[in-house]
Amino acid sequence: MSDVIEPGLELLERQNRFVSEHFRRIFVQIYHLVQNVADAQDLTQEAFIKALQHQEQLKDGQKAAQWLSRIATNTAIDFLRRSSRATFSELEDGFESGSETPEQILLRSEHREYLEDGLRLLSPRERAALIMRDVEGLPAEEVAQRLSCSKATVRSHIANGRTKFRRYMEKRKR
Amino acid sequence: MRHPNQEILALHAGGDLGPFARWRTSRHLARCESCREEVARFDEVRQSLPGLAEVPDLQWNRLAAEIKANVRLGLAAGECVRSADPPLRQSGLIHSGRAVVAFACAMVLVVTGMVLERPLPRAAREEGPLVQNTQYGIEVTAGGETLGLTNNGVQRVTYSLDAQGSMGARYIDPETGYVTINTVYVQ
Amino acid sequence: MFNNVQNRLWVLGLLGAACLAAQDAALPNCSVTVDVPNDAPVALLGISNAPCSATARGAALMLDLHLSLTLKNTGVNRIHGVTLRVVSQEVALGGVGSVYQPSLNVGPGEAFPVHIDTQLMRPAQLAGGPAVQVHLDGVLFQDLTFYGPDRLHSRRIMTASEMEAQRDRDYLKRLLAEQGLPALRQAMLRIQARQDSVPRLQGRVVRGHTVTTAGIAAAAPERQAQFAFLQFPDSPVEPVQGSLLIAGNEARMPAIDVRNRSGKAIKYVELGWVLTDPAGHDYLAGSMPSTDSSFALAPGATARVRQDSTLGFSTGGQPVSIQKMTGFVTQVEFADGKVWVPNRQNLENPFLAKVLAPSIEEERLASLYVRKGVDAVVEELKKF
Repeated sequence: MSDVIEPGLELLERQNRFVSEHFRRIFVQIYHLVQNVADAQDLTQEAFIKALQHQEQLKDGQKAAQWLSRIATNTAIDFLRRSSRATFSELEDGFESGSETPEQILLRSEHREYLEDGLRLLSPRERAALIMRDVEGLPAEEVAQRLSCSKATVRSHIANGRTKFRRYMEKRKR
Repeated sequence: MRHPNQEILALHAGGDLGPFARWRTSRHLARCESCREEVARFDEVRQSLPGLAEVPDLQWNRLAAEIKANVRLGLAAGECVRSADPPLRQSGLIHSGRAVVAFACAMVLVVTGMVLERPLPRAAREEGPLVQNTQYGIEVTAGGETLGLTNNGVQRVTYSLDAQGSMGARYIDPETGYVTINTVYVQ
Repeated sequence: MFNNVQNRLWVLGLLGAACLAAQDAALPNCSVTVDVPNDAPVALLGISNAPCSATARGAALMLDLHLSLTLKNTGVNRIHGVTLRVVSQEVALGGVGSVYQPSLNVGPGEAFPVHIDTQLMRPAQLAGGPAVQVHLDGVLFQDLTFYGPDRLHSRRIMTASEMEAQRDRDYLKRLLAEQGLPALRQAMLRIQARQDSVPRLQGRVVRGHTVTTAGIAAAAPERQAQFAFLQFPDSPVEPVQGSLLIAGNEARMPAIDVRNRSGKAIKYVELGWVLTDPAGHDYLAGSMPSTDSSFALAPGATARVRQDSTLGFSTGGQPVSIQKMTGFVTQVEFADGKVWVPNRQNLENPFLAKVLAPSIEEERLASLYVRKGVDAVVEELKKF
């Protein structure tokens, strides 16, 4: 039995492996930012293409995961900037669970819309910082790395994000 | 009494202040009910957000296959046709103006992708029985033959190696939701 | 006791289409037998399988078998784990695999599925199809009692897993009781973040002191190195000293002396390894068990745990050079069958916390959280 793999195939297999290893994590990371499955898929693909086209920039293989996360975050932020809408929620995203009543499904969808309306009021970077810190629970250092900025700047984004979101929640209560 | 500004209180709610600022703010909060209420409001914000963490039930294997195929097409398009940033939302990945050239590359890549989608075991470089993990699971190889247990297409797998001669692969079965641990042994 | 076979099902797999690049090859039939003893606390309700597919690989044939078994708890106790042994006598010199499902919670009369996805590679010119046998190796109950032939030491393995699961569930229940839903949510997110960030190695192991001709191990001189150790104060066993041979990315012939500092005799010890590369990156490399069936460690005594094997490590397809190895105790089985596993304080050591993946139960509950939210996790915790 032979496992000789031709050079062209070897490169493809390496790329394949790289995508397999990281795709789910990157997809979820981007989805948290854009809250839309189709957009998340497109952006995930774009992030991997960018990463694989610029592999030579990655000096330290150990940092591949961090580097890729940074590319993914920037790709999502660029998208949020470009699109005039931040997100819209899609009921057909597959949130329905067999164990939920229609009322529960509707309530959950309304709650998501409520949250997404609030996120629209934030700048893309404030939104990204807030989601990474308060949804994904990443420490501020990691958020700063992904956004390629200082910790002080990240704190500023997080504080602004929480403040704007709080004002939104209070307005909606009235 | 001087109160911390909104930014400080917002950061304090998430434990995001540096040690000295945190200590100073905590001291103030111990004496100031109105600021405590402010922090409680920011806490409410933080508690409501994790609802966004939910990810839909997706067919991850199919999504993985689509993403891999499209990434290959995208890389090939970059090779075949020089272009600036590819547009984001399109029906396919390739605009019609580049479709003809990219399609030829894509055909090669799709065929190659289909070949690569079938598991490729590695040869044993050593003489004795060998256990190892591969892209698709774990296997024990001896005498030119292999017994393997695959991960059922699951991507998130935790492998464990045992110096006695066994390899384990742990993952969540996407259909049953149960944890499954496959192990292969050198006899 | 285990000779009576209650359910023996023969499944003939017809071979399906091969992929585009495959060559034409003779297509043998595959057969599968599933043996469950008469007195087992589980019964085989059914088995379904996708057609056995074959792909030619040069002079070899690769066969894929996908089985879905439905088992039923026919006993009176809740089942918390099942291990099946998978054997193919004609392949890989009787290579053996196992499929273990921990963290089950199956009540009497309830059914549950087990998937087995097997791949066999054998010379294409061999006549006849390979036979795969699936045997029940063990069932672990809620009260940690066990049934089964235990050919793969599944009693000890499942007991240790169950104790770790109980440890982690108790921790999460306390967290929920003391700090509420937000804390539980944060714990789930932290588990996921750890799952994503823990560095992962690919590895292989060969029995014997094998000098490979591959990669950096071939070029690097072999040198003897000493193990460093991480001590757990409450561990019944203390690693005293250890050594191994290192060549590039290969670790060969590891040996560790351990001392029994408990008052009970010990029959099994397992140690984990952390590998540090020259750049200072740490990885969980694997484990080292005391597999000699005559291993016995009286109170106060010292014994050697050693393996005549060679392990190779890589990540992302690149070999990982070994600078240092650090060992720590991960499991101890006493002569009376009781098992010790590290507590959470042991594992929260900063050195370990960055290399250890979440436990089985943590991973299961975090996956449940992602799919169904924190309320589902709360409901699940209530069931145990």
